[in-house]
This record gives sequence, structure tokens and C-alpha cells, in this order.
Amino acid sequence: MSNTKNKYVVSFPHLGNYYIPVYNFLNNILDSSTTKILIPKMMSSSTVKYGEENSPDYVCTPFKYNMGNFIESLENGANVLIQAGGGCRYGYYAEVQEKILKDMGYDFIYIVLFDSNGIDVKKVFDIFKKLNPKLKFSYFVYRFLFTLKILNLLDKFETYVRDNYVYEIDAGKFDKLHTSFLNKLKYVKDNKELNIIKKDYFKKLHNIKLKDEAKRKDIIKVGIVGELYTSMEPYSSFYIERELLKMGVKVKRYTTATYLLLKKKAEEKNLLKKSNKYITYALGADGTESVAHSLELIDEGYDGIIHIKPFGCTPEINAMPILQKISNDFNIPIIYFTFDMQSSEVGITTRLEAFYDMLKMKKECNANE
Amino acid sequence: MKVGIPKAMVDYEYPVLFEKFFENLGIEIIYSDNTNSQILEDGINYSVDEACLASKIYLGHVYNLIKKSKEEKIDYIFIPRICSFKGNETVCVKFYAMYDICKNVFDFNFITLNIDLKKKQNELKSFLNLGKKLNIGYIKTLRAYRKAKIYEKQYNRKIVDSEKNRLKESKNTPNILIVSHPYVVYDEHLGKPITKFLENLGANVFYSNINDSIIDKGYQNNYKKFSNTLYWKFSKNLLNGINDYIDNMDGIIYLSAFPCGLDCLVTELTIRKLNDLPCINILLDEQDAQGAGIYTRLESFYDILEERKSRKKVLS
Repeated sequence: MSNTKNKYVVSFPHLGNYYIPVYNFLNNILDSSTTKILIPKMMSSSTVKYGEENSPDYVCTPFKYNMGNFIESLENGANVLIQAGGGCRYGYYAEVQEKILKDMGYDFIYIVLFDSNGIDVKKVFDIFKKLNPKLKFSYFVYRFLFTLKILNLLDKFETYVRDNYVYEIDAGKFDKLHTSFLNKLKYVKDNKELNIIKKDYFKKLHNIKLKDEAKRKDIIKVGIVGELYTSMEPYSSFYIERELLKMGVKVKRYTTATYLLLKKKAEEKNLLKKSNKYITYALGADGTESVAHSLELIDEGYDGIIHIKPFGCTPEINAMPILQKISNDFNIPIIYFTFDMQSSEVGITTRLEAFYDMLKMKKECNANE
Repeated sequence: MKVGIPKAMVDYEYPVLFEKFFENLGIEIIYSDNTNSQILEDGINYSVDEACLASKIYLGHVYNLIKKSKEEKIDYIFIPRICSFKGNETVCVKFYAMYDICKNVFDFNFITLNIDLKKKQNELKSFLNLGKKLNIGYIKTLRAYRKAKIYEKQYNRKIVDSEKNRLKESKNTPNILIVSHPYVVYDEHLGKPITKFLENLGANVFYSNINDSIIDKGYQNNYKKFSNTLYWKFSKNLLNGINDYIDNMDGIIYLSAFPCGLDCLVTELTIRKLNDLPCINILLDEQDAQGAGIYTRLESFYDILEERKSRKKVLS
């Protein structure tokens, strides 16, 4: 398909599998006769290279990944870019990225969904209206809410898979179902169809045979806490979750898009209450979550905690001294990973394996006592 | 009662308000020493290694006070928590967490004050709460706060006026604007050696954090010329300062502590927008806080400015 036919080519940065609800949203509100939606190239070493070369040196890593996605999309013909924005430094990314990309000579329309005050639906609608003059406000809001529904379902599905992956008896079943589920979600049209998919796939999901409770005892359980981008975008954390699952470790993770968009605000007081022995005030961004969720994981009897963040993430650095204290108080191993733009996976895997061995020995020791 | 105040980070952002408040209540203040290599070393030891240099120094100062506490009989160490202001204005998240970090790292009595407008804790309220914690009556606290606030206003006016006069009377050598957070540029160990060095070369050094916007609200939106969506209070102030001084400057030095989360974005944008004025971006980390590499760079930067200035004179 040639780009000359399309007036607009719309693109956005990657974040895990969330390109699916985003694609679904854009596909429904934009006019396909004039607009093409370009899913950015899958994260790769070239994304890293472009991002690194064109970002400030010591900015936090998600900025660089976003830049890499944008440049690759622009090179593939995109002329409308969408950035989500959000809290902490994410809210300020947009202005700097736009300036850098324009200085590089690219010409494009830049859309920012959230600013630091939250989302202004009317403002966002007005921008999309320019791309598709036929768009109606009520339909736009409907599609937006529907997209949240898809997002929610996607998170539910992936959380179930994550929680039960290591208990799987016939290897590969979860993966297969996951892929076909993603394909279905991408083009889901309305509520009715979504409900059918939900029923169908969750039935299939629950039908996958799992190990009995008795055989689960020896499995090591690890919780992942930390910054949102590295939690949700597997490439940026060198597929840490997948590595753990491959080792046969049960993984729990709290951060999902559903949590951030819909639950975070209501949870805040609760989190502070849970962790009031250690912190009095919010630590900024997801720092409070890291502390409160670590305490929760300890309560639930997890064997170890993995704290992940991109380089330069201040809120998570704030949380680290507190986590260190918790680690001492409860005698629970916590390992800290900082992900930068380095391209070697080996260093991460080695540390992860050592952590796993340590947890295993600790568990065996405790069992023998 | 004696209160210890670490002379780092937040104390530089509120240079007189806290001090005067305690003074008005008759509470004695013990300051930590000026930053020195021992404080830096202690700070590094007590910090997470990825934390920013400024926050490491802060912990060093807190430890310095704790060491002094027996001798000086310090009852509390005062660590304010600064969070959110009007609209979407906020500060670096490091200021959110300093109190809780210190509480977890050190075993001492800490006292805090929480300015968080989004949670309906404005400045006045936070001071009244502080008074309550110190068992001081409502009226007495209120009066102390008001008096401190008036003093702060006068103090700000005085420094802005004196800087303006200095600019008017400055010598014919290059004027250099330093764009840097006050806790970096005024720090004895980080910024002071640099500004002293520049002054010895003959430069007239000005500071963007002292500008009209701190005495007159009418100037508070000047930062929008450089950055429209900026929401960090202290960075806004620096950009307001650039706007104030820019016409009279020959060069700009951006000075930040590694890895300052705000500066890396704001400086990048400002440098790109102000591309007709010579500038240099200097990043201080714990290794070359006093290293020679920086001085060579400063010297050659200064030479460029001098050269440009003399050429301009010849041309005109």
C-alpha cells in the first residue's frame, strides 16, 4: 500500500501489548480512506540506537525508547504522532520530544493525550476531529470508554496468564492462546463481540490444565515492583518476566495500564496506610506503590522481590532506601535492577540466575529446619 | 529547644523563611557545616548510588548534624517536604521523599512541614501544623509565620535590587549567566569554586534564580517563552531568570548535578531554543566536583566570550 493515497499516517510509541487497544481505538475513530494507522516497528536494537542518539544523555530511559519509536515511524512515513503523557517526567516528555524531532527536520502533527492535570477529552477530540471531520463527539467518547474496556480485558487475561504460567502442564498452551486472543482484540467492533470473546477465551483459559496445589509447594514465588514503563514494556527490561517464567518462577506484578488509569488515584490513601510504618507521605510517581506492594508481597509469603526501574528514575530511587530497610527488617531478599540502553542481556540473566539460586537455597534451608 | 537544619537542597530554595520562623519562636537553629569532602563522602555512603549528587550531599549534611547532635544538644532535625503548588505546579520528586528517606536511613528525631496544595496543605496550614507538633500555640505560630513571610519578602527585594545594581555597574568584561539550582551553584563544594574561578578570570557572574518573578507575580509566566508545558516550580524560576537577564548577557552556563531529572529535559529544550548565545552545559558528579577538566572548559569558554565581545566592539 503506498503512502501517497493517505493524507495522514498516524503512529504512537510502544508499550507492551497495549498497541492493540490503541490500534483498535484509532482504527474506529479515524477515516480509513484518508488515514493509515502505523503500528511502530517492534522494539529492536535500531530503536535503541535512534533513541539514544537523539535524546539528552541522562534523561530517563523511556524517553529514549519513545524517541526511537517515533523516529522509526517517521522514517516509515508517519506524519501524526500520539504521545500519552502522564505524571512525573512523562508529562514533560512531549514538548522536548517535539522540539528535537522538528529540529531534526521532520514535519508532523503532534497529539498529547494527557497533561499533568489529567486528560482533557474535549481538547483531544478537537484534534482528532481535524484528522477526521466526520467524527462525532458522542461516538468519540463511546470509543474511548470502549477502549478502556478492551484494555481492562487484556490486563485481566495477561494477569491470569502470568499468575498461572508456571503451573501449566502442557507447555506452550498459554502462549498459543495469548497470541490468538491478541489478534481477536485488535479488530473487535462492539460490546457484543467483546463479550463473546471474553466468554470464549476465558473459558479456554480456565480449561488449560494446571498442576495441583500439592505440586506447587516447591515453586519459588517472586514479585516484581517498580517503575511503570520497565514493568509493562518487556523489551526495556530485557524480558525479565519471561526469563523468570522460563526458570520456573511464579511471577506477580502489580503495575498494569488498568491500574494506572483507573485504580491508582483511589488506591493512594490505602497504600500509604499499608506502609505507614515506613513512610508518611507519597514518594512520587510509583514509589509509594513499590513500598506498599513489597509489604503486601511479604505478607503473602513471596520468596523474593525484584525492583526494576530505568536509569535515572528518581521516584524509584526514593523508594530504594526504604526497600532496603524493609529487606533487613523482614529478612526478605530484594534485588534491584536498573535498565539502561545497554544491549547486553547476559549481565541481567546472570544476576537473575544468581538471585534464583539464592532464593532456592534459602527455601530449602528453611524447609529443612 | 534546638533545631538542626541541613544546609543543602531545600534550605537553599527557602533561604530565610524557615530560619526566621524558628527564630521568631525563640528556637535556636544549628546549621550543618558547609559542604566539604567529608560531608560528600558521608553522603555517598548513606545514599543509593544512583541518587542525584545534590541529594547525596543532603544526606551528608543530615549525618553531619547527627554527629553534632550530642555536643550541641539538637532536639530535632528539620526536613521540610515540598510537594505541590497552585495548578499543576510541582517540584522534583526528591523533595517529596527526603523526610521519609532520612527517617529510614538514620535513627534520629526528624520534624517536617508538608507543603502540598493538592492535598489542601498550603504554606500557612503547613506552618500551623508544624507549630502544633512543636507544642506552640496557634496565635504565636501564626505571628511567627507572618513575620517570617514579611522578612522573606524584604530579603528577596533586597537581593533582586542588589543584583540589578551589580548588572548596571558591571565592568566591561563578559557577563555570564549561571542557570542552576541554588543548591548547586551556591554550594561551597559544587558551584562556589566554579563561580569564584570565573570571577577571578574577570567575568561578571549573575544567577538566574534571582529574578523579578520572586518579588512580583506579574513576571511569573515569563518562562512560557521557552517552555509552554513546564510544571516544575524551581525550573520555572530559572527560566524566568533567563528571560530577565538574557539581553545583557554574553554567555550562559548551565550547571547541574548528575543526574538531575529536571535539568536534563529543561536544559535540552532551552539550549535548543536559545541557539544564538554561546552556552556550555556543565554536569557535576561526585568524581570531578573539584576536578581540573571543568576549569579547562570554563577557561576556553571564557576566552570565546571575551573574543566575541572584543570583536563586537570593533565592528560597532
